[in-house]
Amino acid sequence: MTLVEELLGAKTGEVVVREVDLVYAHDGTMPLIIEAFRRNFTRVVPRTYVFFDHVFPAPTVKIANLQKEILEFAREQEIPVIQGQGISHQLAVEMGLADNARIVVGADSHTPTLGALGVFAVGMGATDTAVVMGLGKTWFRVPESVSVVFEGKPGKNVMAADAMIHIITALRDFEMNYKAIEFFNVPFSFDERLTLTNFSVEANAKTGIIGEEYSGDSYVLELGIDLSSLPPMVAKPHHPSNGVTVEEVEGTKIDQVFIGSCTNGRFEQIERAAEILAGEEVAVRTIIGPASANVYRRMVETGIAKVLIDAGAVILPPGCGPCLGRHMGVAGDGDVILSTTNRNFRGRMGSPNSEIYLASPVTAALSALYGEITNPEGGA
Amino acid sequence: MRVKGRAWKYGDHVDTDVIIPARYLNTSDPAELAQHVLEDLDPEFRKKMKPGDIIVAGENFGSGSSREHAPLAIKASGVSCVIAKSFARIFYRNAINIGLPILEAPEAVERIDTGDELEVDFSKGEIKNLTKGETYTAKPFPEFVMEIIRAGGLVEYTKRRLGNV
Repeated sequence: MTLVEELLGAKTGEVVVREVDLVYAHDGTMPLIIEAFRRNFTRVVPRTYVFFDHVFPAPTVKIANLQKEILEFAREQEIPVIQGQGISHQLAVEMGLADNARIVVGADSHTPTLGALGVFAVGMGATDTAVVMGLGKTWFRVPESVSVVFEGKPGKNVMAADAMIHIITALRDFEMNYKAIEFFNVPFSFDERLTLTNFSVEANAKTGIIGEEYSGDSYVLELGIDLSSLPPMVAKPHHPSNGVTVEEVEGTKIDQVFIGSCTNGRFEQIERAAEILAGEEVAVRTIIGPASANVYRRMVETGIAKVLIDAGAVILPPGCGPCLGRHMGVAGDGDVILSTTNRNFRGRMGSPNSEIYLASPVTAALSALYGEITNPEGGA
Repeated sequence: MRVKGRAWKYGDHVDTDVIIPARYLNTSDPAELAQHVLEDLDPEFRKKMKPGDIIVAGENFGSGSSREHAPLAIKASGVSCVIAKSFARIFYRNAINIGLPILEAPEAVERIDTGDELEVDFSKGEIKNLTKGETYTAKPFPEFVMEIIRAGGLVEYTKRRLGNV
């Protein structure tokens, strides 16, 4: 039995109706959800939360007004709205919203981040989410699962992001559509585990889940990953599956570095970056995006915030920041961005004439010092 | 149900960031979104397309974000259907839910070029290429998807079926 089969209580390929334990949405997806909901339902049924993280604080009058509409709906339905305290997925984890949950639906494609907690967490669109809010349940087709079993421990300059870029690249020719990735024998810390499931969406997987005991039967593909021999990786423009070793793109000039997001904006990840930037000065625009207020607070209390500011980095309020090109460091024409986010589609961070390379916080921080993609294993 | 139109052919992994870039997500108004559909991939599309035209694409159409603005923008622009080799999961659900007709037809995609006149019969799952004089069949929808479509959309289906479960 796969983890998915256990969580959904049905066999691969079956279509089932299940109650949803937790539903959440954000300032990007709520407006359409409200429209669909108002047309068809009157009362929100399941435990529901809304987070303002995508474009908060509001950068334009139009967005401020959209946020007011969301607040109005939330007041009516008695739904908590958490504004500017961090990214939905990170807060859902920190607030323990998925404790005792089996099934989580989020109106955001990176909802599978919560799979690191061992739940079945999937992203859905506005109408689907409105239905879940109106009925407290919906239909699911039980996906097939691919297993990833880790061996060994990563080298000191290698992080979960490197493992995922490698895995997504390895899976690029395999039909991953509608399949879950189940991870076993995971040696990473809690902060880094969330990166694994967060990134699995970019392999076109339906979701990612971390499990304890590997039983080995019923998987459509089994991948064994030897972490001890994994080098630092980079995903070249314009797809996360365009992964190569950092060595292959060393020296590429960059205009901006972003370290943060739901992928790599947790305390431990920003701390790794700060260790590298301590006492130095960045050579290019370096933007830090803590994934939550808790992360930000720890950065201040431990002195890491000062280290980053002294190095010349810019620290953003907790939220999605420039990840999707709406504010806080949008890419201009010809800009080359090195980012610890999970998506580098053409135009993702702004100009369709910009280029985004994805990397780990360690690679990103080191590269910020030199103004070019720099190999942490370069013997420097 | 039948639709007819000119084909606009694109490659693999046409993602939600090129279908409707995030910089336009300040609005949920389909008519506004429709102005910018596929703008970063093919600026000609919006200028030259006619209502009824058909997008033909490779693997994994609609990959990326859960934003329902993507199929909404396509539908509002007047596109009558999208034929692809495969669809990304969230986009697949979203398209069916909002009533944007989609079909998975790898063979058809291989043979069709931009400019071909197509006629699609959804009940038969048949695609006719009037320009090349060829006919292709599309992969039939799973039964539960057909039920959603027959019910008139996800909300109608769920109210009818799930409301009683």
